[in-house]
Amino acid sequence: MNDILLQAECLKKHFLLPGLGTLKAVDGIDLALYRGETLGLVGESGCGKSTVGRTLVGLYEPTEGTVRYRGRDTATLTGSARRDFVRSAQMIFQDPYASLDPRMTVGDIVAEGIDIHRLCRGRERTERVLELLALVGLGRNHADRYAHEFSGGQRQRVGIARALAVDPSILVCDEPISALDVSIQAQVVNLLASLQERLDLTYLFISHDLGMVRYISNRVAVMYLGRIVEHAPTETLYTEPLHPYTRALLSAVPLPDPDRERDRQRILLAGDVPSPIDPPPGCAFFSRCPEASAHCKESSPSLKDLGGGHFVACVSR
Amino acid sequence: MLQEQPTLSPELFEPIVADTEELEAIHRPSLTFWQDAWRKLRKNRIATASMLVIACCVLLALIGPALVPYGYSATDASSIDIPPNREHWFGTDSLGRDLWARTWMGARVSLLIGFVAAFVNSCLGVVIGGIAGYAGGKTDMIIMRIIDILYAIPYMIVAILLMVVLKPGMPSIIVAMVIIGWIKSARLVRGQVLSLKNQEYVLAARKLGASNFRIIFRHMIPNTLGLIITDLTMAVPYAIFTEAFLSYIGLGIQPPQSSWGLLARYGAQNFRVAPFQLFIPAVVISLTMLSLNLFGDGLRDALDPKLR
Amino acid sequence: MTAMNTPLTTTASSEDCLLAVRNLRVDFTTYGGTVRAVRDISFHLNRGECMAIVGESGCGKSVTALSILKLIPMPPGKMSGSILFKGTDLVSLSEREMNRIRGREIGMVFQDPMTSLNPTMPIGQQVEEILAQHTPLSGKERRRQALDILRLVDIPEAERRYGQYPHAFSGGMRQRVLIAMAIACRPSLLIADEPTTALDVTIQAQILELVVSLRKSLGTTVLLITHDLGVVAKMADRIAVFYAGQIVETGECRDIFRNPAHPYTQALLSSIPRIDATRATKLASIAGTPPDLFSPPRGCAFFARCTKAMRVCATLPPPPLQRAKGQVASCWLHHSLAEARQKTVPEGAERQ
Repeated sequence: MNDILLQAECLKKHFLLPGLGTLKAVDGIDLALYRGETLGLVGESGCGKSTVGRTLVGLYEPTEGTVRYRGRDTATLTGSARRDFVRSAQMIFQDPYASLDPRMTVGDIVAEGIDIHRLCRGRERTERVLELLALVGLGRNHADRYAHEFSGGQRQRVGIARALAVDPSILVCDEPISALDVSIQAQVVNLLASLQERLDLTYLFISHDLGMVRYISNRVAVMYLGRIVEHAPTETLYTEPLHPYTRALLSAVPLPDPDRERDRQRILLAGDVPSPIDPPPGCAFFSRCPEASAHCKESSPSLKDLGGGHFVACVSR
Repeated sequence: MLQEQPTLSPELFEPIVADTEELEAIHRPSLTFWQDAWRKLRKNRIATASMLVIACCVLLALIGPALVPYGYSATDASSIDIPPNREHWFGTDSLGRDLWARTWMGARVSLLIGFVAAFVNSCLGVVIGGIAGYAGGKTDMIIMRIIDILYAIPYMIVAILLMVVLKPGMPSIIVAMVIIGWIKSARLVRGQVLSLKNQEYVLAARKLGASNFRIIFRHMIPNTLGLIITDLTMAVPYAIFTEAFLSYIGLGIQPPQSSWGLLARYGAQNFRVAPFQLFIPAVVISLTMLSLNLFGDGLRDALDPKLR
Repeated sequence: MTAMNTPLTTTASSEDCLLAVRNLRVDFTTYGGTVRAVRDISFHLNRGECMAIVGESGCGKSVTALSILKLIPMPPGKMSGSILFKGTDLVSLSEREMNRIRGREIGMVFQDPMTSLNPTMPIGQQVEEILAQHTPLSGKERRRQALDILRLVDIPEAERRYGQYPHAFSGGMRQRVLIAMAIACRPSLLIADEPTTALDVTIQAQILELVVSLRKSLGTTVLLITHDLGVVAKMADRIAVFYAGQIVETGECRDIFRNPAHPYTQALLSSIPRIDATRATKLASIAGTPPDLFSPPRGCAFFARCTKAMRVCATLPPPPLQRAKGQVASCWLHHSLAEARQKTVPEGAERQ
């Protein structure tokens, strides 16, 4: 088993909304990212997956719990160790139209990390920028252009080049393809997969697109209302989902195959996704669970190890 | 659908490989933000016309007095209150001084005060608003409450009171105008900084390890510059008017110096005898203010990133 | 697999045909030039069926939907061609006559439920407004009717929620309200433009089930616009695939999924990851991006990105060519000369 690069222990991130209450975006999760793997993090809107990503890379301070980078608590890191962590865990953002500074040329955008950490200068810097652009499939003449001249897929590739400029070991991809057209999504994901192999990267792939997550991930974790309800190796999760929410989620995704799609057994969830502001105690999924019992309202179940790397947080499993 | 079928030969159905480099190429010429803004501004006829008017105004302020042989403060008892004619293009005032020379000498003062006051207001506004927006939390709250209090005080009254206390002259006028004139800019910049703070590219910079200094100077300010410039342009006419008003009521520029407001003051006193003495400075002030406002509008449209 | 060389008009028997679009062209004049958003498209919709218009962003599908309802602002936009709805050409109708059709004969559901509802009006009243405009019902009857419709779209506790404002509803609920407003007058045609794109997948499933059941109970014909092929597989009887302002392929749903005829459709289908596919299945991507609609290419719009391109594709736009069973693809590969060539040279041998 590879070593753990990044880890979350009982991680909580709450936001105080004046007048409304406490938004418990992340409410106690344990997560481990092993070197060289891609961990998929799925869930619907409001489940807290983006917040998890941002807290893990240090953009947010945890409200409670610990984030460990290579075993060391990131809150205690100082000086060059802290700089090393900041540099090693990079992020790819969702919106290709907002994640690039409109006033900078693409070359400067990609070189920003290089400039900040003073990794190289002058001629070497230019060469490095062109190298990075070529790595993501963009040409030399693109370096002097501005972000608004590029398509969504190209912009996302610029964002990837920017993140790679500082030689990170971990890349947190926060919905990197949701804003792109279907045929471009495959382009970007294939690029990410090939870069992972070439540069020995570790990915946390956050998405609500269950098909894409299956394609790219080694392991998958399912989130609901700030908690992880199930996680397992990819094949296991998709072929033998155990948590009622995972089952409902997989059942809800329409298949691009008319025969299979129309014959499927559907699990339809009633009602809406509850608000993460001041959630009630007990299991997060209680209000919509087709298998809920009185017991579920009392305590929030913890993740049970069912063997083979399969963990489920449900009292009836 | 094809209207007529051209004859198709079998060779046309040979496979062909499309140029893949072409696929990623961008054909349109690359324009920087400023080049693009300039292009849009030029297309706007009203803005271009206003620009020309302002340019003329500034030009005349510089060389206007030199175009006539009369000095601006040279009195001539024999040529009192003469309406505009071929020798005195704007006529003369009640002391026989040439009004063309006086108008354009006055322009120097009025325009200078206008631009300097607007510029200082803008600078103060950017710094204070920027700090409030970027720092957030308590700092922001304190600054905003101070702004709220100052906003409640009528601007003109403060200016008037200060002019009563301070020694009359250009520096005093600028101080009076600037002491609470920065509030509007500050609010504007604060709002922009607040919205920029959460943009993904700022987060990306932070993730790459950028210091606050770098984020402010490399990311925030360039993206706020358009707003600042527009705000500055719109602040100038207001500053010009304030100076004119203060001088009109006798608290601004004092003779023998000349300013538009001062000319209007004397013109109003002498209205029955020589109405042109009021009309000319009034028209000049109005035209300048209008042109600056229209130009500012055009500039705002040209610099608006959403209207690309 | 036979191919006909003559360009084909889409077949439709006049009784069944509810909507027939012929040679529709929509251009937009912008400061940068003229955008040819929709370039000579023709399709028809039969009574009672659900047709899906599939394509990616910029392909012209939303513009087509808005053109049918003549909701495109005409100064920058310019429309030509014919849109026959129940025999009447909508293009020739005045704005007043169109207002009688919108909401009454043709209902529309838009993509974003957040911005499509008036935030200052209770939802019950918004449904009533539609009834007020198109039916002669009295106030009390309107309210009763509106309540019934809200119950029909499964809004729980409809009575209590009747007077609530849109902000009190979740995204899925708001979309139900929009559907209620669209079907309030039992229109014969419902146009749904990306109705579930902004919703979570479990909510999407609910909404799609609702549309299926409404179709069964009301017999409404549905024109569904989407980019999601999973939704298409679930909902559609027939499909029209759009690319760069043109229709590249039409046919029965099963046929298109099983045997896509156009290289774009094929590439699109193989670039979608499926939740039931193992990781070993490689995801194909399409290189490049769709063409600039300011100056559309001379030949086939997909030429630059097509792995099966031929010389003719660069210079001549392909006409719609018939394949088996009502499947029509605008691709030179289905021309008899191309098929003749295939018999002599094995496919793939020349492409290195």
